[in-house]
Amino acid sequence: MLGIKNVSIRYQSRLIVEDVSLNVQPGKIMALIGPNGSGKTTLIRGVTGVIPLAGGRIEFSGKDLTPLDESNRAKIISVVPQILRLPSGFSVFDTVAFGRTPHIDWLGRLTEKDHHLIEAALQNTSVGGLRESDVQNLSGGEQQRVILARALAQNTPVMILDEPTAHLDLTYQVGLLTTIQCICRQEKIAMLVVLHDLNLAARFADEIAILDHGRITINGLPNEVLTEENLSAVYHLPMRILWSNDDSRPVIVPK
Amino acid sequence: MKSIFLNRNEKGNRVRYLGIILTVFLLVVIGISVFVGSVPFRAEDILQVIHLKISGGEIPRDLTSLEKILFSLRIPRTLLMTFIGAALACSGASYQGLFRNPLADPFLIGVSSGASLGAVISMSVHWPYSQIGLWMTPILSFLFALITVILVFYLGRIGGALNTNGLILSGVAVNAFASAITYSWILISSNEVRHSLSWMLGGIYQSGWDPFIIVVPIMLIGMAGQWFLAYPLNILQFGDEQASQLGINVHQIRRRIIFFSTLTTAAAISFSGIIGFVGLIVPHMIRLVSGSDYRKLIPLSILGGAFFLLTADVISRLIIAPQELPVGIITAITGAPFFLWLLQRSKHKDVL
Repeated sequence: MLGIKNVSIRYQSRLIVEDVSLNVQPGKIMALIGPNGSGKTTLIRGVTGVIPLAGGRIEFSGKDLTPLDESNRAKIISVVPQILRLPSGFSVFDTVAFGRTPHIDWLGRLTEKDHHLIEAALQNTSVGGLRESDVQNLSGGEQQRVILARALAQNTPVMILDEPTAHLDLTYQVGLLTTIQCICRQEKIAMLVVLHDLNLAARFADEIAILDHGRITINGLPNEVLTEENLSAVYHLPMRILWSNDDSRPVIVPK
Repeated sequence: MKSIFLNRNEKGNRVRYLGIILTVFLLVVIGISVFVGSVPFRAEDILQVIHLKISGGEIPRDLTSLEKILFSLRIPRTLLMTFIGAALACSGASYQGLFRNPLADPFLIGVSSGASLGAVISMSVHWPYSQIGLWMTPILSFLFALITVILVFYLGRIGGALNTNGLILSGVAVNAFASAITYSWILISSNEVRHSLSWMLGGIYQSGWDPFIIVVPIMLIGMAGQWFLAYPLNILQFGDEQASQLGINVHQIRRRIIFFSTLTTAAAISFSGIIGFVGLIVPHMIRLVSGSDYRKLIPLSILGGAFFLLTADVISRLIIAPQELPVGIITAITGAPFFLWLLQRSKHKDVL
């Protein structure tokens, strides 16, 4: 279980994230939603150790991760970042193999086990057929899958995904999140996913947390969190919730 | 499945073939460089002298001048140029990875100018023992080069990420500054230092085996260090944040890469002067075949750089024989158009 305990993060002198506590269970997806500038990305960067915490701690199964170095932290938490641009000259296989970095020696030599995990990651994300392609020549959707495969090859109990569906067409958004959900269940990974699209969150998340002005205003099951009052207050926009007939999930539309 | 594995082997084969081709080419040019020079000798005589020297036989009277030219000029120069070319191309590849920019080259980012300032200062000082003086040149070169690269790195980042413009502009500024001080230093120094002006254009400043013995071990250590850092250098290509999330200590790795690549560059510069563009052209050409994996790119650049610079050196000795052009002029004439072409291509992308 990933535990975010009373985490605060400062940028310059401003408090961007204030006293945030969240728990993410293995095999479950927690969606983190909130308007632009609410501190989602900052929180993610704090959890993954890119920026220091001003207070609180990050735990995995009760063990404090804050004092760990990059390599030991990367054995526990993998990250699917927002991809703007991938470097050229690396194949899909190479890129996915880089997920093994925290587990292998400093010359990057892969063992039988590493190859096995890389192959599995390529297959699970349906990019096996592209393994020799240069990552820079792939479409946005394919690149996002390759990066997901890299995080999967990292073989960690926790995975953080920062808007994995940004810049993707609707078909690819649903396809990618279906894959992510499938991996989450299969590998029992605790997943924290930043999402912009409330309807995608409603459809794929097991739990939803709303971040507003650096604080978690509410978190719980999608049906409890995604209410007209909650969303209208956070987004400063009157919202309407419709209920879909087939799976009784909420559908959010601005009024 | 079968075709997939064939593909992997094909790529591996391409890299292997390139390695073999470059090695053969390099050996051929080493041969040419030993046999050809401004003073013409008969090939049989050269072979005879080399044979006698190796077997410990007595060298006939009429061949002693040939022996001298061969063993205190041509062979040490050939070997030194081989290593310098290797060192510059290797550092070029590392700098490109470090700055995540294919336009980074020890010359363009000002490291060479910094190193040469250190070298010129060292040459102008009358060190108490000549041996200390020989050692001080690479040491001062290294210190000044290190200051330069750190300056370029931080100046180029002002106003955000290090992009092509920032890198080139801060490189130009630091280059101009270091060169200005170097030239002023030469002018106010004794006559002895003034002849280092031709050294500044990339010519061997000292002949014989002394520079070779001092500088080659440093270059070997530097290149080995860079090769060992090739894997983390791969990971750095994804940016600091992703590299850190993949388990890399970014600051530590970056410091090590700067140390080894600057050490290598400074050692290369300290006895050969500024030889530009080797570190730009060679890794770029290699990359077209090997891709961006630095574990392949660095050793292949070492071979390619040695071949490229030695070829340029042979040309520089022959083109206006019996006089010689500084080899830096040959590399600049071939490298500058190449650089402009790269810059043109990168215009649309800003950060490459």
